[in-house]
Amino acid sequence: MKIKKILFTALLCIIGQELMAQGVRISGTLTDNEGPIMMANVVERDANNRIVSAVQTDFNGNFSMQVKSTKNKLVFSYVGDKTQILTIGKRTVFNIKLEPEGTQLQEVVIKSKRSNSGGLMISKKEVSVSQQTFDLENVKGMAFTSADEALQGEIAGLDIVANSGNLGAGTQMRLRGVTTITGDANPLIVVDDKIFDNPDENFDFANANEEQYASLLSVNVDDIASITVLKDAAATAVWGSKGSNGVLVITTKHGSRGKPRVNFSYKFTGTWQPKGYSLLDGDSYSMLMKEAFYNPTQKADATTNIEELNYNTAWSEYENWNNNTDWVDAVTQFGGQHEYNLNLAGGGEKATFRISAGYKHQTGTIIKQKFKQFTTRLVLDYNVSDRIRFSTNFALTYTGNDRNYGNNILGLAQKMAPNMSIYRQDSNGNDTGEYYIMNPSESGKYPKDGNYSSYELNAIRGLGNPVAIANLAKDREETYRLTPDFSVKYELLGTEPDKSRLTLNGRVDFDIYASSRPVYYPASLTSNTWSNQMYNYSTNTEVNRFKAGGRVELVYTPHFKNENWSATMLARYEMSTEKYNKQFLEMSMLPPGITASTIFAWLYDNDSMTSSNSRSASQNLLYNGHISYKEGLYSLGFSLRADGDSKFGPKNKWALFPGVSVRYNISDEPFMKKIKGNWLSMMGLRASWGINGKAPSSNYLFYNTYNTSAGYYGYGTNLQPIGTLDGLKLDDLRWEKTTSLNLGFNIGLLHDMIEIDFDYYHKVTKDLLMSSVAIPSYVGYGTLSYMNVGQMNNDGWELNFTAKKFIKIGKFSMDASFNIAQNENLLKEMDQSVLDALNNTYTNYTSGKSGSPWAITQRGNWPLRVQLNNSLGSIYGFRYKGVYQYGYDYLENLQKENNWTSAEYEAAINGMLAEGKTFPVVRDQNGNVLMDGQGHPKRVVYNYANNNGTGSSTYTFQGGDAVYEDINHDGQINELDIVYLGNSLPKVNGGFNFTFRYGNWSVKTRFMYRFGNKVVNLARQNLEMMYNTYNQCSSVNYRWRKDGDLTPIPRAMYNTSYNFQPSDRYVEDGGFVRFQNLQITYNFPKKIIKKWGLNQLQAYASLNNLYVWTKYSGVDPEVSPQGYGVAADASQTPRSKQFTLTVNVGL
Amino acid sequence: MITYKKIYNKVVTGLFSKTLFLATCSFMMVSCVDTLILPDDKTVDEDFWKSKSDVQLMVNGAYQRMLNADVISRLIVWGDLRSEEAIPVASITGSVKEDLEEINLGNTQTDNTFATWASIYAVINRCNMVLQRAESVMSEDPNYTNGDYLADRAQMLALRSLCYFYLVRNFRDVPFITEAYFNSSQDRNVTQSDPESVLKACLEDLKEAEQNAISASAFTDWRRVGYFTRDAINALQADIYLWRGSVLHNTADYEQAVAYCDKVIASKKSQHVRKRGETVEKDYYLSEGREAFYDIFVNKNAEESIFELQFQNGTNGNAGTAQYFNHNDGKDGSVPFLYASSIFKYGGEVYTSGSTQADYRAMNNTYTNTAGATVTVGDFDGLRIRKYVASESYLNVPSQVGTAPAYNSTLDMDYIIYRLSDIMLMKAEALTALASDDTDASHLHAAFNLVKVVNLRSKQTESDSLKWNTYSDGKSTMENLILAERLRELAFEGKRWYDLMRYSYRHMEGVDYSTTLAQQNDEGKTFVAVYDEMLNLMKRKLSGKGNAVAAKMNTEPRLYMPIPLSDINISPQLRQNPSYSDNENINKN
Repeated sequence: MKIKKILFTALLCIIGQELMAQGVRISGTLTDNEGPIMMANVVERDANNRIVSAVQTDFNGNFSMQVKSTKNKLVFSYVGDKTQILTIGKRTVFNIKLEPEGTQLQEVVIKSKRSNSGGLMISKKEVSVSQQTFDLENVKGMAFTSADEALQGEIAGLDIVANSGNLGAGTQMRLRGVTTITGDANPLIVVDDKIFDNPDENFDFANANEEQYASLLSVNVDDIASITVLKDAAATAVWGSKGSNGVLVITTKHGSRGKPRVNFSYKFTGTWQPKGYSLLDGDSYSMLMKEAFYNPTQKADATTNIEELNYNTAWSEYENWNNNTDWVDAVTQFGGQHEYNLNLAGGGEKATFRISAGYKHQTGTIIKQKFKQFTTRLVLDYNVSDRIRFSTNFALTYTGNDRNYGNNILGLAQKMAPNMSIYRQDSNGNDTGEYYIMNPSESGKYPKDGNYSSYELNAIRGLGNPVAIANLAKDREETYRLTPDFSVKYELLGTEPDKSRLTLNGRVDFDIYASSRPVYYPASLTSNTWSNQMYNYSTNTEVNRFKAGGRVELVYTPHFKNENWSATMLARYEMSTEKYNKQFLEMSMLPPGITASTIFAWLYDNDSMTSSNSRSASQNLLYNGHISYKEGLYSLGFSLRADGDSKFGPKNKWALFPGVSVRYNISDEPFMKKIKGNWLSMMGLRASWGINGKAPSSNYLFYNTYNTSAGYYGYGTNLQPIGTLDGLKLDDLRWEKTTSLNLGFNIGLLHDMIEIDFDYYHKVTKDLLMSSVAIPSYVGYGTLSYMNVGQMNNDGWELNFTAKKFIKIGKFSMDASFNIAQNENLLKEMDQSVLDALNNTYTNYTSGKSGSPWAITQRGNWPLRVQLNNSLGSIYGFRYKGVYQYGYDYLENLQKENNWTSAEYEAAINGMLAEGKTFPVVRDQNGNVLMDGQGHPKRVVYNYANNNGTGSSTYTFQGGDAVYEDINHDGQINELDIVYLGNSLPKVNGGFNFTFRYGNWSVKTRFMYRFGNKVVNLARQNLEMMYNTYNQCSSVNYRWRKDGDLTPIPRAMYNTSYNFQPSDRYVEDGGFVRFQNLQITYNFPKKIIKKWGLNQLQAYASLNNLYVWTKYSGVDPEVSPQGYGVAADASQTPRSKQFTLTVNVGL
Repeated sequence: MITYKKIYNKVVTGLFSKTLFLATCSFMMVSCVDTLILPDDKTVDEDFWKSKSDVQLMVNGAYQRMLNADVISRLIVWGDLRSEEAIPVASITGSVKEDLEEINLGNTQTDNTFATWASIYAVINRCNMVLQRAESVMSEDPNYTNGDYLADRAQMLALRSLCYFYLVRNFRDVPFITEAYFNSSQDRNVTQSDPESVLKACLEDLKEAEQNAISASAFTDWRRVGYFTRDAINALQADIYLWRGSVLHNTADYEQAVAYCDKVIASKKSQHVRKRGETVEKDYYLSEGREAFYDIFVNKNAEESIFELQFQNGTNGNAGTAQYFNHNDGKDGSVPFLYASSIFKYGGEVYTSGSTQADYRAMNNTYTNTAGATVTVGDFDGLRIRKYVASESYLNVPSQVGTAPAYNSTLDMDYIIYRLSDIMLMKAEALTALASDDTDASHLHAAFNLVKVVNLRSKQTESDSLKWNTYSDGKSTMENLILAERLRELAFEGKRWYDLMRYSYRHMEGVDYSTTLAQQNDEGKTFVAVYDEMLNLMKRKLSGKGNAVAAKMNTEPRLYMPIPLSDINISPQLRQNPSYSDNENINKN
């Protein structure tokens, strides 16, 4: 870079000399403490600091040059020395001695105190809105895939939950609760003042799973200097319609003046999975299965034909079914991550630059998961003069993510029959090289009938062989994202601090995104025939998005004669336009070996192609101002943004988003001086109010669009083309608007050693947008794509506490920080029809899809309910009361044996009930048994009323079945017994950190916590259901087997019974404290590294996800609800445990 | 404070020239943006309804909506399953089976998937769109003449009336919507109309449509029967009048029914083109017995057809009949949802007499799969439906007795709404109803003659067919004969349940057809009992459970499907059929 700089200067010199043929010749010598300096710069500058001519000193430090005007200044500079500026005047000889540099750092400090607030630079003590900045320096040396992971537990009010432990799965972020029902609830991400949104706009957030492209993956964590979280509406109002979920403002690192610095770091991270559920081995599994098949029918031959469970040595596949395979172990592994980052930064007065490149290679804790990322970023600032400055920021990110097919290999492995082998085994029981794939199955056919698998094990067959799937199927997502921007800054008025300044900023930016995702499921993974839809199934998804934006703004900072006043304001016009294309190809029944869905195989017509494209444009105008009096004693900020979006119809196209904030630094009042003393260094009160909005994510909703190529009507010749109207035009759709009020204070104690800030907020979201709202079907359409449906409130508070070096003993010092946040979400109003429609649905967490309507007869699916004055994410289900200890027949037999009369019988039953024994008989409010007319106890049934037919299929509870509380004592367990069981949203969440330093050593610890939330442990529900043939958790060994067994685990019932209905059995406390990081850093002493020719050398060792304190019985309680659903732990890949070793070298 | 003038001067004079370039650059890249963006692959309303072809697209779109499996499956379930014709197949699984079973056993729940009308209203909305917007196209496109417009309007009025006729016969009290829905701001709250006023409005619309309707002879290809021609409009009017006559016991309606049947019959006769060597003029040009099945159902668009929905594999495959009737033996063992009931057993209740092949329809309409067995002894559980499924007439392939017949895997089958023999039997039914008493031989004999023509063409010999002497003893005998013949002729064509309902209504006294059921319930009226004989017919398919089902179907409201629960939930003004509303008021915790 140095050479480049020299060349550049030289070029300028030549140009300069060409132009300045006339003028005064000057000469001189440059020296510093170490003698004459070679290659030092001598530059002639005009009043605007524009370079007029320049030369460099020779070997002896001498120079000579022709200057254009004696009014100009001469600038003498050399890397490492202080720059000197002299007016030329009449002087012709300049023998200058340069002083060593030492004060520039000071400037940087001052700069960092100012923060960017909607384009305005405002000093920290004048910030009147609620925001919090996180400096990435704090987590240097730790390994993160994306920046959101670094923020976990650091920002009060920002609840971050990892989607799963799969590579590149991303996180869910919720700032101050949820203000949307079906839309994206993640905060807006802004990188260097540029909106960085999710490029896949067709993404369905309400039913989202982790397949979403995590946008933050496109920003290398190593390139980020700091992240500011804008919390209240006054702060986010400048982002208008996009900022209603809060804003994460990411600032990337820029070059700074000084010698070019090369920095190289290498991180190695080892990852492994926490111990999961202990599952049944092959022997216990086959025993359980035999019981499960026997129990419903009680027939002795229930499993005679199911050879897979019989350990029949005569069967040809016997060796493949006599194993104890640990499938989970087979699909998990120790994962490693190598991360290399190299950057070069530096610059002089004219230009500063930073060039960085990063490469990351991860292997997952699940076999065959691989993630690669390459990033590069170039940041260049060039000052043409004091008035003009050009900047460019150019970043490219490539990610290659080899996922597992179906993204749920671990889930499959948990369900797999453990007596089956991974590889086909020969007659001696030795593995061959071939994966074992189950034979086809057909109703009523068994292995004895030929090459069949038992139909009863169809579900196991449907899973496939997870090891084979991981190895043979592929799902590879590759993305490219290019985000260049170019900006120019022009000072129209003064450039000095004591003048009024008017700055014109212009910027063009682009965001180019391309992704392709080929998926292939080879025929060798199933034993299906070629006519099956999954025979050599391949798909390809291509997404392209181009986004371009332009912005002009004027920033005006007047200089007041009365220096008590200061103000700054800007007016901005911005526009952006977007083009989006998506294409999906699907093909199956391909000849073996062909993996591309683009092959046009004429063999069979099972191919499909769908594509979508859309365009949108938006414009906005922003006025943002800030006034302060007496260096921030009083500050006032105000902004107004007008947003126009092509997503809205003419009636509601433009919307206004105002924001106002004030701050009163009471500690600066003269009367506080005495009270303050030494201990109180700052006390500021803040209040703000503002409005944000949200637009729907689809385009063209405001038109009646006709599809004129929808097909044909007719037969044979003269087919008539038809046209259709796609849907109703949403002519009354309004912006979703969130009004928020924020009150807070900042306190600094002991010279700001301890800083506390507190915020209280009240957010009201009106005209909630909801997608796919059901409308009466006689309209001719089933749903409206969007509708404004109601109002939601979020109230909460946040407290942030940091203490820097509050203990300092000799070389030892200690930092601590703590934050806590509480949010209460309430649904205040909602269209009754929408509520009714929502409440009839359910979510099947296994498929991740919601269906409707939820019926009591469905097994295992959790009903969704949304109720007014309750928060979203409420969990409803039965109350679980254990297992019926005795069966009904047990009682009847007792009666027969003892010849009890009806009254005696009743008394005997009541006696036994009082002893705590349980029977499937109806009990009244006092807990006494209800007898029928014939003198028998009434039996408890499952949902009699909704029973279809003559009543014969009504399920009567038996011994060993789950006891659900019969809330209304009507003798049947049905919808009326469903009650509220808790809420998925945490009452409090936050984090706390400690840092200890001793000399060159430092130890950092980071913790995060969430409390007061409930989690549906779906994993356990599935692992203890004993309803299908999937493998189960080893706790089912305690299952009920015979009358009298006292156990919380019901009996095994294949394809029968209602023993795993949604109930509080699976609703667990999801509170936890996670010891996220423990990091030890060693800064090699300067003396040593100087010897090695280095500038900087640090070594870090850290342990991540060290320990979780929780009552939760599952693997990881960190789950959050999707949309209006409940938080369900569907046994996705858990967050791995990790250690990281990092070396950072500076040259 | 600073002086703004100074700034102004400085900016304008001093710096403006320097910044001019910069500023214009910035504005240039910014200012050419518009926030009005139209989709690339769709036409928006503002550019639509501008030409004749736009209207044609939407008219055909309305017809095409009828082809959807949602519609066809409902026509099948409502018309066939609810009658004694069909039963759900036991070996299928899933929610559809449960819904079918509910209907079969008279336990229909309000959330039954067939208790929905969305697909029918979707057709209605498409008709309404044309009715509302086509007129303005005349001023935009001179090619779109008044005649074109009136012809389009006639078709849409007729199609809409057909839809409402289906709705009224299946739900009784339905919202009568004649405005098209285009925007989300339109009022979606509607109330139900009583059936009488809906039918009255339909008849008025049809009267208008009849004037401007296209003639069937205007086309020679599929459009002859694929569009709602004047013949089809008259057939529909005959059907509605016959229905109304049966419900209201109204002679004038029966007379209208006869008159419209005559119009259709005459028109069909006049359209006949004589073949070479054809000398005898006939009143009814029906396909001859051996060829009839092939002509009507396989080759499609037969001469005797009046209106049928045009399916074509690839463009619009008939997934409806395929799913519900097609037992596709050859391919991966798929099973249809419905089988024919045991009454279709040869020698059973429907086809009673004669030698094996005395009635061609016996073997063509159903089929048994039992290997080696002859068709004569079809087993109850496996009596498969051939109509709308088989690609060959049974009698064309006599070698296939007892083996799987060739199935049409191309889903090309049309769904027939009206054909001539249906009209003839309608007329016979109306004539019988018009008979003043059991001795009114002029009416009764005329009716018998019509039945006889229909019957005879499917018989090998005259001697196999019906004899007047056997059926001459009065109105109810003739009524029963017509019911039986309609079952033989029109089995599985979505007609039977309405035949039964007409039969029942004709024998029910005190039906209040101009008040909705919910209102009647509010007023405390007792609902009229359903005619026993009709229930006796209906329960024939249910061996042991028949009486229980008949008991559940005892009153008029039970003849209808429940109003869709999903709509009741979100449309506050809708009222449930009182016989289904028991569970509505349960409160959940």
